[in-house]
Amino acid sequence: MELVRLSGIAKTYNSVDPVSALREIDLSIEQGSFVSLQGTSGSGKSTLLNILGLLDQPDSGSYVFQEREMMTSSEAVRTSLRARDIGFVFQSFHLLSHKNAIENVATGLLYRDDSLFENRELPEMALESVGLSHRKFHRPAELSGGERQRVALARAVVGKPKLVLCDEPTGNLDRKNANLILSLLRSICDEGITVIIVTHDREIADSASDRYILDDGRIAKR
Amino acid sequence: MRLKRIGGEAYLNLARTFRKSILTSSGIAIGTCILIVVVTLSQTSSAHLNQQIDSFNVNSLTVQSASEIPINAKSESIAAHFPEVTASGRAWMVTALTPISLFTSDEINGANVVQSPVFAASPGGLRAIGAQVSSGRLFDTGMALRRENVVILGTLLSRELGIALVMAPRVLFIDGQPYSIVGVASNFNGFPLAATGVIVLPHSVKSILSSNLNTLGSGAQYSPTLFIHTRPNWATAVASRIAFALSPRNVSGLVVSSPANTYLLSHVIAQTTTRFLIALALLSALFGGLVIGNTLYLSALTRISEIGLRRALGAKRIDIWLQFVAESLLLSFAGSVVGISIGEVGLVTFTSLYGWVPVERWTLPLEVLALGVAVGLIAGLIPARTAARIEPVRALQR
Ligand SMILES: Nc1ncnc2c1ncn2[C@@H]1O[C@H](COP(=O)(O)OP(=O)(O)OP(=O)(O)O)[C@@H](O)[C@H]1O
Ligand SMILES: [Mg+2]
Repeated sequence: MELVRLSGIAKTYNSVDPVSALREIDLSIEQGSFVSLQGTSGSGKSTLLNILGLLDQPDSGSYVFQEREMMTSSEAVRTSLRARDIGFVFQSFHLLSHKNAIENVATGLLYRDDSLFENRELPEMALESVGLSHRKFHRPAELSGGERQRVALARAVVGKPKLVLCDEPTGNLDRKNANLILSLLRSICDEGITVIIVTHDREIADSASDRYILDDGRIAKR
Repeated sequence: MRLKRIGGEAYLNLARTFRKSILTSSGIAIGTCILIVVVTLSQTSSAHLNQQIDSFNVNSLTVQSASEIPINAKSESIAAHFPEVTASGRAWMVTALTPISLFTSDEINGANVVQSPVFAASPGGLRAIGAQVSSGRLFDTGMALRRENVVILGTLLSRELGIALVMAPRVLFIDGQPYSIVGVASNFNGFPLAATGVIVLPHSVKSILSSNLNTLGSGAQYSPTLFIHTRPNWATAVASRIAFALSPRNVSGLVVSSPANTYLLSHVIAQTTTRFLIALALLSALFGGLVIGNTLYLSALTRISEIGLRRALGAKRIDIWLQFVAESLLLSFAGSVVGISIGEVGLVTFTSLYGWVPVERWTLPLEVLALGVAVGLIAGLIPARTAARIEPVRALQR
């Protein structure tokens, strides 16, 4: 089943000079696939990921997510889709420093329905799935970089989303930790969650089921 | 439910920067503390003040001349004819500074001379101004009729001269002229300045003034005031009729100060002072709000990436807005509660030291609390708007 369909997506930033970050992007992503996105710096990878994650609106084109047109949807609809169906993993983790590991995982449910938010088992299970049950009460400052990214990963999947978007999740990690994150992403994917990963890491990119390359705002399959 | 969750996030965020939160809310705390102290104290002290004024003024009034109409012995006896009047008489300041000594000019060697004001009072005047003997006696009508040269010392001057007790007759020299000391008096309710000088009978005034003119070259003649003491609560009634009785042809030539005037005046003064202090307290509460607003605004700017993350996790703009408003409310609420508590503890201590009973309506702490929270709410609006407007894309860029 098709989860994402982009057609003719374009995005221009109007700052000092207009920058065409994306031009005429067509892309179709099947549910449960593992997609890698490569490209030189400034080629528009993060811009595309933000549009896919409903954090940003393109200037033109069509974005169908779960068979719904996103271009004409209200902000409320897109916000609730973001809460329910989309998880994010960032290069710089973005954990809340005043919360411990389990609380950070639980923030993935903060803006969900009561029944989910009050379910104390979901965060426990998510933290266990990334192998960090023994670090439950550690604050981010008391965790290694790899452990922090695993907490962030647990936060992204705790609400059982359809789509997990990762923007260079291993950019700050060494080989060993990068491989660990990759294998965790693979097992997430095996549960039927679609994973889209922006990466400079050739090894990770090659392990994906679908590989794309962005070049100056244009996309090509590899 | 969602509100409770967002309130929890607000609380957690404040708790992580606990010290900063304390500093941030201290402005509101100070403002509400001052406010509650000022309002309560002003009510307490004005209640206290009114009691004093009541006890002293509801039975006394004064008449002064604003024209050629003389205030003299005849005025005294006219006033005494009122059945409600219990004492009436003249009193006034004769000279501001006159050399006074216990020795004749032959014995004087400079150090023993005191410069002091001289007052004059008729026997009735002494009683009407509330003079009380602490030693010896007051003037009587016989002394006035016999035109005796007698003097009464005010307590302050008596201490300065070292005459606390008047056992045997002693002589006092006012500008070189001898007077017999008959007593020491204090508690001049209507004429408190009298405690600083000597009081002579009206018939002595002329000689003191003339000799003073010789020695000092000046001697302002202060005009007599007629002091009238009435039965309790009759002062206002007497005040309305006394001018006509004293000067039927020219009623407006006399100035009658009735207790109502004094009462009103002191009331107005107290009220103005209170208003001014309340304005100051409100200002400091507003300032406290400004501190909260400013801190939260900075906080919104330093927490851009956190806000972006929350938006990515599905927070609506209103959720972010609510969290900031909740933080502002929590800060101002905690600050107000602390400020009001400190204020109340201070008030209880202060008033018990003075033996006063604090006068405070029971809703006052709630009113001040509401005010403090309202200030915090308003202060939080701009930061909350700023935070809610932060775009998640830009916030997550780093
Ligand atoms: N907010 C913005 N305002 C203006 N220009 C922007 C903005 N964000 C990105 N750009 C520009 O758009 C282009 C694409 O940016 P984007 O962040 O998508 O690149 P990227 O492929 O993620 O690069 P990197 O690998 O360095 O992260 C760049 O040329 C960048 O300068
Ligand atoms: Mg990027």
